Amino acid sequence: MPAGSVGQGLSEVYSEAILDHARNPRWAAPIDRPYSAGDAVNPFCGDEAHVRLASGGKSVDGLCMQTVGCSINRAAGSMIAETLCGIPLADAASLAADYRILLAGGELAPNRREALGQLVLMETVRRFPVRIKCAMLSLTAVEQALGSAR
Amino acid sequence: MSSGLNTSRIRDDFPILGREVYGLPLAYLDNASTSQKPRSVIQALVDYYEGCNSNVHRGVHALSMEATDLFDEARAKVARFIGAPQPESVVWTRGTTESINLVAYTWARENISAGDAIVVSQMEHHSNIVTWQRVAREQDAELRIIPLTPDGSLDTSRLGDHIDERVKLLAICHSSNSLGSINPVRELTEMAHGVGAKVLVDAAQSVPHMPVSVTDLNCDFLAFSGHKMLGPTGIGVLYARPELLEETEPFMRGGDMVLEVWNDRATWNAVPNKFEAGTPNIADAIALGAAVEYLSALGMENVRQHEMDLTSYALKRMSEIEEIDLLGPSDVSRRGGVVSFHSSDVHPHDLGTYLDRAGVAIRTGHHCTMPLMRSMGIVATARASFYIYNTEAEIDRLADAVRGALSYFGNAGR
Repeated sequence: MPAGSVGQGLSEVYSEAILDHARNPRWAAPIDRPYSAGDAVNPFCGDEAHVRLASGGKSVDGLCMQTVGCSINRAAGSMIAETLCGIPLADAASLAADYRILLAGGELAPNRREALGQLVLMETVRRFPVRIKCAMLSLTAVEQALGSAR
Repeated sequence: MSSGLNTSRIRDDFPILGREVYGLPLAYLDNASTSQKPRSVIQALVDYYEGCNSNVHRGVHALSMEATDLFDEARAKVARFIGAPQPESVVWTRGTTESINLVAYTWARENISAGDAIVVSQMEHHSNIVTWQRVAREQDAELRIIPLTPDGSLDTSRLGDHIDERVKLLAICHSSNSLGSINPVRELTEMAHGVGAKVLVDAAQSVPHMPVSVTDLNCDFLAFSGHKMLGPTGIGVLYARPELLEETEPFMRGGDMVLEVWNDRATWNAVPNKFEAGTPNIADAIALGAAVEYLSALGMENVRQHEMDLTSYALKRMSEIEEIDLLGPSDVSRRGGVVSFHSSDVHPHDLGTYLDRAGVAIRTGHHCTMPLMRSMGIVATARASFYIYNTEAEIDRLADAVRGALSYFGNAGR
């Protein structure tokens, strides 16, 4: 079977950018004295997402996102880290909420989609419903960290 | 093929095998999850609903009598298939899980008490471990786990440490759904009986794939599911020694399981009806009878040989792929038609998604055996599992797709 034809079908979900983030996750370096933390585990596949936020209390000044598992989980963690870094905590919370809406197939205004940055690429995972939970694991960790940061 | 199975003829009996996925022919290698159904089984369902649909054991009208005859015949067919001397030793359930729970909620509660022990193995499906965790907790009994050897076989070197006079029940799978390992059930039963314990065999992965005789195994309980052996979903079997069914209180209460009812009490119907409260799953039981006929016509020795041939071939093809680790025993005479593998380069879910797009259906995950995965230090595997209609060409597609996935996720998209 030509691997190319399989690859073409797969690129619907595994876009170049997703594969790149999965192979080279951003913001994975540990940080000193985190302001808040979030940890999520999917017991069904063993995948993990761990986030540590650096903050002076107003914005996400830095963070560490470490994921273990499949490429969707790793890419989602990397992309969400990139989107969150440097923005006010309140905006981070609404971005997280918007990402959840995106994965659930909900409508988002163009400016809110734009604010999600590369995370909008995760929308394609909706074509593989069993993999949506992989795209959500790091989100759960982030929501936990933001909740405790408030 | 040395098994004598004519695969291309068999494939013609399975309408679903003619379909495509993503424009590719389907290679269905997820048979340990559930099998596909031949036309004769599907037709048995249609015939029942179109020809004699009615309730069993109650009506005096023609339809009810016809349905009752077919229902009872199916029980007799299934009893013969597993070498049970009496049809009354076959209780209909929804599947293996319900069969095991039936024993847990009835016999086990009456016969296991504080200080007793229940023994399972490290390779059990959740249905045969979570169930006993609960009984152990409620009855204040001990749950003991027989460990495995590094190749995923049962470690029989120190069985005496686990199976002693305190043991009331040994509950063990005949063949592992995750690794394929086949356990020496007859020998284990002899040992358990030697200390006065009863034996429950989870035969979900053996009855569909090899000759199984409860008389030969000499077990006390044996549980399996119809849907893994060409039958419909929602029908399964608990075999139990008739005397155990006689002396055990019913599972659920309701219609059909009673003999006489007063305002304040009731007496129980004869075995096995005593354990089948309410309208049973008539259509699916009849269709399971058709599935058993189909398998019997092929011959279970031939089914087993075919799967051993395929497993040998799969182990050979898959061992050529350096990046993956194959799990389970390498000797095919000690394993069923299940090939589980693992790669540190590609996550099983990414692999499963890639294979799906290549038209190859396998299962990825923990296969409802989390304690086993934990003991092996992994969280998930990819598992291909074979049946009567699978071919070497499909295994070639599996191996090619695994190679494709490794290169895609290794250097993917580049």
